[in-house]
Amino acid sequence: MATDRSTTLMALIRARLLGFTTRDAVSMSTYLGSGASARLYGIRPPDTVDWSAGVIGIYRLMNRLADGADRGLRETVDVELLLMARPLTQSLAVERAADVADQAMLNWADATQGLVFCRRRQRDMLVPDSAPMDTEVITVRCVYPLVVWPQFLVQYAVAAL
Amino acid sequence: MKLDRQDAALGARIRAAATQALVAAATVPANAVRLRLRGGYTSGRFVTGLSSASVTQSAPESSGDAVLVRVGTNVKYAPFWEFGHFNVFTRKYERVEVWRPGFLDSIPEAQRTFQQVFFAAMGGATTGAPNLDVRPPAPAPPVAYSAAVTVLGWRTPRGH
Repeated sequence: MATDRSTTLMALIRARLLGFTTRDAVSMSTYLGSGASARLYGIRPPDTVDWSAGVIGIYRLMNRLADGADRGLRETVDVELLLMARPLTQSLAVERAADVADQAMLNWADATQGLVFCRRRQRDMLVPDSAPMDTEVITVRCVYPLVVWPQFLVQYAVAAL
Repeated sequence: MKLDRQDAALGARIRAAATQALVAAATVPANAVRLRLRGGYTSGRFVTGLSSASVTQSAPESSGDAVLVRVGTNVKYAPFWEFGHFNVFTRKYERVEVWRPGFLDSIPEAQRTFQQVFFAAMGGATTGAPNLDVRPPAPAPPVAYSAAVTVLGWRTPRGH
């Protein structure tokens, strides 16, 4: 059920981000919490965020393109992960969480059904310096380009071959 | 030897044409972003024109085998609207993407612009009015195409 629907692709990425554990036993759950209550939100966070709980994460898919190669079965899509915390003294926690995310996503591959893999990453820190931005919120933006052969497309193509 | 010199001359000519085409093609996403910024990020009541006017493109610059033209802004708040921020006035998360959709939407037109200018610079089919040449258009040379893609920050079709 890895990529049988676009929504399960999102769930797969969420599970990977929260479930991955580094060699020194650190996971994203350390910073974001675990399970359904984890502070890892799709697309946008709730309007009221409890900053005292620690880091929050926002993730989504973007730039989803099928370039026509491989008969449209192969897609490229970017996973954007924003990690935020407040106040600025939490910047180290945000960076550490981003370190874990980088380890989780870079070289990730899942061929349970369909295929999805990642081989590149990009990371930037955003520090707002004036209103209307909350200048105490630190943001690290990570982007992971994925290559996907979604199961919901591939299953018919294979039968047609 | 004569053949080598011809190849070098042709290579230089292709590179010059690709650079010229690239500058023209880069205006397409830049204009697309300017258009999207005209109404501001929110209600449009606080628009000064600064964001729109700050969209600039660089002179062509070399990067390895590629030639780059950068389209960007030096307005500090632009990335925070693009990538999202917690707004002290609305007291919630705000995000208005302008650059990314502007760039994505302008890809076909930028590619057409690149082709037209490139062919014109190489002395081939020219621009503007409808192309009356009945021959099928020749594909852009791979080198020039990848240069355009790199410059505008897009992924190459088979980037992996």
